[in-house]
Amino acid sequence: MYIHSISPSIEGISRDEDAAGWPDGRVEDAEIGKTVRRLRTVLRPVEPSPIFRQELRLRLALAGRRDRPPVQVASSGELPREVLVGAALLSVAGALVYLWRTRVSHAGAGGSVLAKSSNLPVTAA
Amino acid sequence: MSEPEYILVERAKADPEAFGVLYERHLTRVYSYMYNRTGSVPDAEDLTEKVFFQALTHMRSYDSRGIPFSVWLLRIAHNLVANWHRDNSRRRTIRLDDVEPAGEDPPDVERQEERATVRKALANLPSDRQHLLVLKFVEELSNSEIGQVMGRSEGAVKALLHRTLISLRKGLAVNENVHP
Repeated sequence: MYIHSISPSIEGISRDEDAAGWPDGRVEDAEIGKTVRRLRTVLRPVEPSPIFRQELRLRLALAGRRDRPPVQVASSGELPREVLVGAALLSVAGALVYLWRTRVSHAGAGGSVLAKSSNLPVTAA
Repeated sequence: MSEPEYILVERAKADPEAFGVLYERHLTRVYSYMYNRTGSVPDAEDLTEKVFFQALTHMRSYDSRGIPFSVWLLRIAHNLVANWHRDNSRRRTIRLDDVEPAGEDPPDVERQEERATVRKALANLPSDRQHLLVLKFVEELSNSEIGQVMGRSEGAVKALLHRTLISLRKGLAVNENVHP
């Protein structure tokens, strides 16, 4: 797995680069390869414990649900269905109330006209 | 077939389940980084937890068209480790507890001494060079990816890596001369 990284194929540590400025590039190259191998005895991937993995996942899930962003209503073209139905119902209810009030007021106005007409002074023909 | 990362990242901005999948994909990488930078299991766990909580909090500000998600996580990790070293005044301390990766035979005395020598030389390197070596040899990132994490050009990373390995080699030679 790590062989590809060991000198001279370490990305960034080319044989040519090592050779430049050194009396013997091959010696330097081998030394760096040895250093990398020694480094790998200390630096290496480590797996977290299964308990830690599971507990942290749970905590993140809880925090994620708690901080969940509200449903976004971006534009009128993307309004949720519930909002559209609610708006339609409100409009119909508003129209019905308007019609009812209009009829009531017309009926009231008509009655007063009749009442007033009976009090009109009678003019001689 | 697993979901492409950029789709998963976009979903994770509103869906905790999707964030959980990202967590599973990147946990070992972040934990390995933290363990190799701090040298202790409790500190690695503590800092790994902080990385993922910060990522969760700032998920909506992350732009998946910029740097890869793994690079973004490692940047958060690097900043947290830098603060941790500063707060604890342990910048040059790499303890690497006597905890060996699972499945490995107990090391013999000679091998333990060899590792102690390498750790000492490693701990004497400046923090950014330790950071570079962990990204290169633990995370196995390319120079280009390391450049994204460290905010340097690929060429600068290549040069720094070369200088760092030479410094380390010299440090190892000094330690061997002091403690032959």
